[in-house]
Amino acid sequence: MDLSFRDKQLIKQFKRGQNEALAVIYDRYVGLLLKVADGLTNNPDTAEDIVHDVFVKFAQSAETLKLQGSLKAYLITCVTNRARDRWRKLTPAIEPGEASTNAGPQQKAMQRETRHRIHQALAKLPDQQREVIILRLQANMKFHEIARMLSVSINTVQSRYRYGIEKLKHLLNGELKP
Amino acid sequence: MKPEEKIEKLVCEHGISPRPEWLEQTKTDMLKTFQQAEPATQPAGSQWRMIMKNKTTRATAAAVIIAAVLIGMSFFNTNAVVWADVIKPVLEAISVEYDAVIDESGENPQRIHEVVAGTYIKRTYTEGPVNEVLIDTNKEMLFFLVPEAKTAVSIYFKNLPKKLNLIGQARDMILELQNTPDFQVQTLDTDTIDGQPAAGFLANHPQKELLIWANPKTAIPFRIDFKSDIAADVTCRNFKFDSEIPQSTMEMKIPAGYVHQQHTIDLAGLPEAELIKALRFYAKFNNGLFPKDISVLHCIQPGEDIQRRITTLTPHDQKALRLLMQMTRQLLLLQYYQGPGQWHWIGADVELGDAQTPIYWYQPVNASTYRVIYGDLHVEQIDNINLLK
Repeated sequence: MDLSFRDKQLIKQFKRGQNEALAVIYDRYVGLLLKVADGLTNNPDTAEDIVHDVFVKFAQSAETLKLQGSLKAYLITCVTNRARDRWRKLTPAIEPGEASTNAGPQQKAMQRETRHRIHQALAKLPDQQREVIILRLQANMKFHEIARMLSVSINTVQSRYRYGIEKLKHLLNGELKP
Repeated sequence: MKPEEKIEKLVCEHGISPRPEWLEQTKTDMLKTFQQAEPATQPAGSQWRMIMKNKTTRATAAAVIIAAVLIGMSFFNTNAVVWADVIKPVLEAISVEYDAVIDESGENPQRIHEVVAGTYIKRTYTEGPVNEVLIDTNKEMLFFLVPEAKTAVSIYFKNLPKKLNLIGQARDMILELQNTPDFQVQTLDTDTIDGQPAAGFLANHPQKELLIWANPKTAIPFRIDFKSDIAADVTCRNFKFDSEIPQSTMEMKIPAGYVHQQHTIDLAGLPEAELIKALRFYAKFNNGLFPKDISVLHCIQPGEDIQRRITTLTPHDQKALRLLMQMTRQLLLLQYYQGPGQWHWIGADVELGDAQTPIYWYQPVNASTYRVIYGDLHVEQIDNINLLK
């Protein structure tokens, strides 16, 4: 797995105690991790808690951190593991989130409604299917990377993805009409 | 757009944006935790503060400062050299010799040695059936020997890309970076890199980065890390700038008793069917997997099957040589089939036959749609490429 030299340098500086390197790592990955956490938990408050915990824990790991693969994959794995812990404890809260600031009032309302429906549909998926769909579509991970991360075969990942998309197609039938 | 694609697009675009107050609070908490934790090594600043707090070391440090000023050297973590000094040999050298590793942190790093002199490149591989390749970029030709088959091969290209050497790519990247408005150079702390003291410079803008380590006294670079044109991680080391390169190094001599084969390959305007044939050919001989990327450098190490066939060939086994030539041609097609517009390889380690995973996309010239090739080599036309990026 690729470990870009920029991340290598940042990790090295982070391990040597440099605040700035940690701040750059945070700025690079916080948006992506929050998106993934939100997709996995369907709860923005829980997503914020997870990402907060992941970064605080990461800040404590300077001495012990030993990366085998990419920093991105490592951080996504931390978020995914924490999201899995929460699945057992929490019921998803459906939050429509903010609509695009450039849209007009009517368009904003429509965007909010669409987001709400996607949130609802994702929440109805089995956890394992939702996990693969979020990692593929929101974290931009490849199937073989997801397979390696979840320790399952690539065929399992692909079938979870296919079933998940099929189910979403059924649940979001209205959104697909032109 | 198919319903599945629309679903993917909806999920892709769905997602929350971080609240500014949460972003700030999380960052503050993280940095506070980090400061409270005991770092593995003291940062340069705190090392200096510790020295200056101690009476004995304070006197020694003062002496070091005076000595440094008198002899014009810097001390502790300050780089004596500047970016402009360090890039000078890279930009101006007429000849360069160096070792390069592609994808050093990956599972299968490729090691080569390159000598670049004017329009000539001599590349030596540590593994594979061909040890040395000579390239004349002016004549657009490539020459190599296959000792096992006692054959010399000359390939004449049409539309061969100009920057075939790695240092040339690094040089272009420096110039390109320097000409962008977002260009920044970060001076890194003096460090020990590859066992020697190093002054580091990280040049970047949002899309590209290049890291140079140089001798802090002479400003001569000894290591450069960057992402190559084909997005592989490249590390170049052990530079010899403007060393004398004997003319014989770049001579394309055919040894006595060798058969000479000549081929012509036009790398422009190739039909898509050729590309698909090349992709199938590579995956078939690579244990059913597509390569990490489609550079010649990455693909030149053949799969187990083809390697076994080549190493067992008899001195005049032209059948095996034809196989080698076919492989060379297919690999070149893979590398340079860029379509006339934009293109991207996303097939790393995908299995041949995987109908769900896209491996390659490109946009034909003047087209508003994109062609996407999947792991089972079927092709689809799509409107929105963002789904694949």
